[in-house]
Amino acid sequence: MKKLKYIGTLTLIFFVNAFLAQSFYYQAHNWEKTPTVYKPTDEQKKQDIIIVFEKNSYEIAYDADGQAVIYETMHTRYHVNNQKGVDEVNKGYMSMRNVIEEIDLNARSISSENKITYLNRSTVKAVDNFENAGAYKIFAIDGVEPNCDVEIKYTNKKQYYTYSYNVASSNYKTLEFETHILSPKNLVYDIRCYNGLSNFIKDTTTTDKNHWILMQGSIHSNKKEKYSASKANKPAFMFQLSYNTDKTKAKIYSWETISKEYYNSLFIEDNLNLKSLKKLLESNKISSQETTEKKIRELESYIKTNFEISDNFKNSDLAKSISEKKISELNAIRLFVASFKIMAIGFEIALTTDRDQFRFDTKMPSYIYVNEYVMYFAEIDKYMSPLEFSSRLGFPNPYVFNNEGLFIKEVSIGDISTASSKIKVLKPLDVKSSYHNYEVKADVNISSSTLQLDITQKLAGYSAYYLQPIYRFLNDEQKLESRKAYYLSEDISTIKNAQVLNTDEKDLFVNPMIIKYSVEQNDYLEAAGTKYFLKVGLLIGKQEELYQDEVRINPAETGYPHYMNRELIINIPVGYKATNLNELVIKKVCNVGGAEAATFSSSYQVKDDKIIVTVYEDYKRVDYPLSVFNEFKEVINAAADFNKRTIVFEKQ
Amino acid sequence: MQITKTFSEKFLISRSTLNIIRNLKVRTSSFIKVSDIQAYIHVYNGKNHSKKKLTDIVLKSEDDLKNGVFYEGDEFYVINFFDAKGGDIIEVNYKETYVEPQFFGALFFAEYYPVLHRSGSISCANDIKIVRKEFNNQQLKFDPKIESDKKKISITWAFDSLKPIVDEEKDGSYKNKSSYVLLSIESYKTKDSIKQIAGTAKNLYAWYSKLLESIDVIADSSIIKLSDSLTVGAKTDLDKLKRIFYWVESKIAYLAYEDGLGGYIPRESSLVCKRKYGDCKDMANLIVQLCKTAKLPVYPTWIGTTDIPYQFSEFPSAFCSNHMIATYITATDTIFLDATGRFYPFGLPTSMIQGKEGFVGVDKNNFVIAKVPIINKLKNIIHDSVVLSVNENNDIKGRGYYKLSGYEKTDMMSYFEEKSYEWQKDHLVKLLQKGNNKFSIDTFNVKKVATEDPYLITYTFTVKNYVSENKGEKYLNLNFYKDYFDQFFLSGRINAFYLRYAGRQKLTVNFELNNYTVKELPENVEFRNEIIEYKVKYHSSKTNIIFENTIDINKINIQPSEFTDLGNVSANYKKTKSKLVTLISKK
Repeated sequence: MKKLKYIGTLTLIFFVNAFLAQSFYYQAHNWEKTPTVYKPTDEQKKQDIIIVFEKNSYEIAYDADGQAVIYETMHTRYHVNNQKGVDEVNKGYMSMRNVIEEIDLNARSISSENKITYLNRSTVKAVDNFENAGAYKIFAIDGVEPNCDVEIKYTNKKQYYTYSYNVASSNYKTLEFETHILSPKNLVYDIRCYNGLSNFIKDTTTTDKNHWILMQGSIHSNKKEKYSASKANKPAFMFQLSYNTDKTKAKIYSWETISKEYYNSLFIEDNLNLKSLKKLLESNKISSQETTEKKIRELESYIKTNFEISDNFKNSDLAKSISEKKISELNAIRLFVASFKIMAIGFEIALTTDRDQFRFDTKMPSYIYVNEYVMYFAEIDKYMSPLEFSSRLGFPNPYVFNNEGLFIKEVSIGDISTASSKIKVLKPLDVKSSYHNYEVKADVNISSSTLQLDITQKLAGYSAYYLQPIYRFLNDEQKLESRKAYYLSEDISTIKNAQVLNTDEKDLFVNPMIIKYSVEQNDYLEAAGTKYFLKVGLLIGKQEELYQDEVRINPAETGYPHYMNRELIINIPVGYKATNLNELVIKKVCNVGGAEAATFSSSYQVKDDKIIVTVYEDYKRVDYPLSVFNEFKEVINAAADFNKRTIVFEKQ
Repeated sequence: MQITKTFSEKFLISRSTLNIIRNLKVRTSSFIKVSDIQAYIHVYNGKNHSKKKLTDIVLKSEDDLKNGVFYEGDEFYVINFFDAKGGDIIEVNYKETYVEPQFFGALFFAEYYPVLHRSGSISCANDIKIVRKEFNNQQLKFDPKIESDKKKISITWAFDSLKPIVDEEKDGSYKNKSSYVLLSIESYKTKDSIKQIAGTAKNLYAWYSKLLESIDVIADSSIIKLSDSLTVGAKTDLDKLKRIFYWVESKIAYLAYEDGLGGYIPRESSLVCKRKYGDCKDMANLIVQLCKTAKLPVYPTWIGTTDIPYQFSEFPSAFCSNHMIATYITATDTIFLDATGRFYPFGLPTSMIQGKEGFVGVDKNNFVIAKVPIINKLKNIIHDSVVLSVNENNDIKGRGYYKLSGYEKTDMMSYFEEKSYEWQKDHLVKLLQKGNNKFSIDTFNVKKVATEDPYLITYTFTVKNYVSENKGEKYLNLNFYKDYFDQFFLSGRINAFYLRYAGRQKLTVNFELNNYTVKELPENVEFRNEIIEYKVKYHSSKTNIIFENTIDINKINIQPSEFTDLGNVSANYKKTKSKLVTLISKK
């Protein structure tokens, strides 16, 4: 996933304004002089920690030199119920990212007898790189023990930023959540709240500045549910500067202005660069390919396998990047754009989000929602992720789908070219595009109580996304490690003739990746006297049961539509007959809006001395509404049910 | 005397490491100061290399919580070489000055990547006495070249084509796998005397003793008060000791600041009490001070964890220790007190110091070396005992008693205690899984037990559709430990197994027959050798089948030469684990 990138220049973030003696919200926001420890209810005592309150403020103000800055105050009180809670909050961390000036840092513990122990400053340590997350101040809080409160409050003056996305929930339940956003009268903010968070209300009693307040009684702790988005479902708010009334009455951000910024950065290229690029496309036989699709594929392969794309490299001149084969992400997009223009291939740039992190918000034009780059080719109706190494044409990062995006294309009238943009939906690919199929030939050997298995697995599309493109670059040890996930045996010494095919550049997302091997399994055949029990269900690989004991909160979500077809061919040992084959038949369906959205279906037939079992499973959609969750669960669990099925062989 | 180590290293960048390695870090600290750092890139043009100086070197403080230390005050010179490509060579040269001679010195030869050539040498004036010890875990040919004249002596070790060290499941630390030389300066001559430094137990203790001389010089009133309140009414010394130990273990949270001397000198005991947190030294010293007030013979003790494969008696040096505890010593008892293990019962040393020597500081001039025992396997037991029956849908329903003692108990508690109900339930489903993926825990209860008693979790469970049925007969496998030996896969294994402790894992199944009678039971099997053993036993009556599976780990360090024996047990077990019980309905 790509981090948010800021491209272009935003002149409106600089403000020239008279600096006046100011009073700030944080100055009036003090902690209680004589606090009393929080008394949790019996229910709350079951948690390690309860967040008694979290009160944050973001105050935008002008500095002495007329520059805008933000005073950020974070103020949290925890109640600690047990020693595990003590270990969690007897230390604190304050990010120093973009901090211009540290205004204050305070912390204290409040014992169960209301005895206060203040922060011992000698424990505060500055670390340039803490846990690889940049500069931090870290500190320990004295006197923390079960049944006490811990309070941390700090204010930093930070470099101005125009927008911010903040998650309001944490690993602990919050009893009271409060956020204040303040700004000078001329700087007007748009605020959006997501996933059940209350809306901000403008405080009309504050007249000398804008003041928006969010107050919410209680926020649940984060609960990760299986088959659901991780960050995107958490209560969150986003604020962004929308007007600077001193400068203009126009809204600062619109999808049009954002499109224009991207257009100017990505589409306009120096003639000299274009000339050298044209040569490159010719000499590498890219522009001479017969079809549009072949040209795109050839170009994508060439760039992804010959260039090192990383933001460690500067956004230097494109010609220089091309000659050195080391290229920044921004320049890599420019390289694609210019190449397509030279080859007269029509395309749009689709900008969106990783839907697992946060969803594109059509009502809030913002750079936050355009941090995933995708290219769309209408002529062949295919997408491409130019910066994802694992992705190739037709299979962009799967998390851009089932989301909306800002599509930008160039329109030209005569010699004049400009950006044209539209919000469109990135529809997920068809279920047939991604599959993981098994062909298993099982030879039952009664005398040795073993099973000789010949297995061929075929993976296509997104089912191969995380392995097919990188397999050839792995060393032997890594290759073995990656294959293990596909083995029907924990013990790799039993695996013979392992082969992985179709992992060359030409095969990626065109030919399915094939994993073949043989294995002698002695775990799948059990004996009781003269009867033998073949655990046929395990031949589809171990499937996990989806439990949902508590009331489901989030709709279900899969990574991408896909299917799995397994054909299991089992010989009936000589002198034996199979007796309980009807157990192999299972059928489960989940419908959404009257259409089949997910299916599990297993069946069998007996031909001569062989039993042929077919196990088919598919997920045609990405999203499954809450109303059908139980049906969805039944389909998932049908595979786990099948896992337990056995065939009994008894003497004829 | 000045101790300087000159370091020069060249790395050839292969294509496969290119995307991983973009910088190198050189650690500098207040005890070992790095200077004169220079780095070069030898750019490869397909034929030759041309040398270019690297200027992107920044000094950064960095910290992470990986080794459980909150703040170490580490600083690193970070050498960036973003422009490097496959075939280029990175050269790094610097000096290390040993401000504290106790930390001198070691020469390590192996890396996690192939080494084409590595040499290390020590040279010093003849009147400096150096002690050294070679550790050769990689079976290298150690052939040091010794050169000397009237004034100087130098010793050089050189090796070519060293294979990379690899990490494997349940293996030892880097020091258990690599080859190296430990060095120490025992003494040097001055004009009129011989100055003792390190390298002997006596010298080492002189330093340890000095570290403690300025703390808790006078007993603090809060410590006296606390000690009195903890020991009041205690009838015996052991009772007093136990109360003090449990107070420190439960009331002081482990939080380590180890910057500078703070990494070696404990904080004042009264401060630790007030803060309610501390590291191992702080906890050890607090125990010592509380016991001192209570007139108990408890002493500060330096010790190494099992990551350090050498003992004080082999090579007395500061390298032998990375941990501190307190030790109670009388004519009849030696009790090791490590309060960092949160759920440890009094008297059980933490598993990471089993078999290690403790360097016990008795008074200013006297010390003893005492060895922590390796705890007997029968103290570390997991016993999963279940009563179950089958219903008409072929589901199994049962109730279980999961009992843990010794290290099995402390390990379980350290990650299971004080977690949410949901977390615990999810965890138990994985831990207690029986039969198949349809295993579910219906209810569970963690019994409140005294710290010294076994940990007990009672649970009820269901395994849907576990039993196979065919023509009126039912079949089931009562051995729920089918996968036990999977942890000992030996295919391609290079390193020895270093298990944390010896122990027993036992499964008892009481199957209630109800409407069924036994048609056939699998045979009883047992197999035993010095490393591991198991016993599988079936017994039936009119009303029940009792199944028992007992697996013992007898040895915690299993060398490659013992892999055949280990493999034999595993192969033998495979034959027995898939046998089913056959039941028929009572008529």
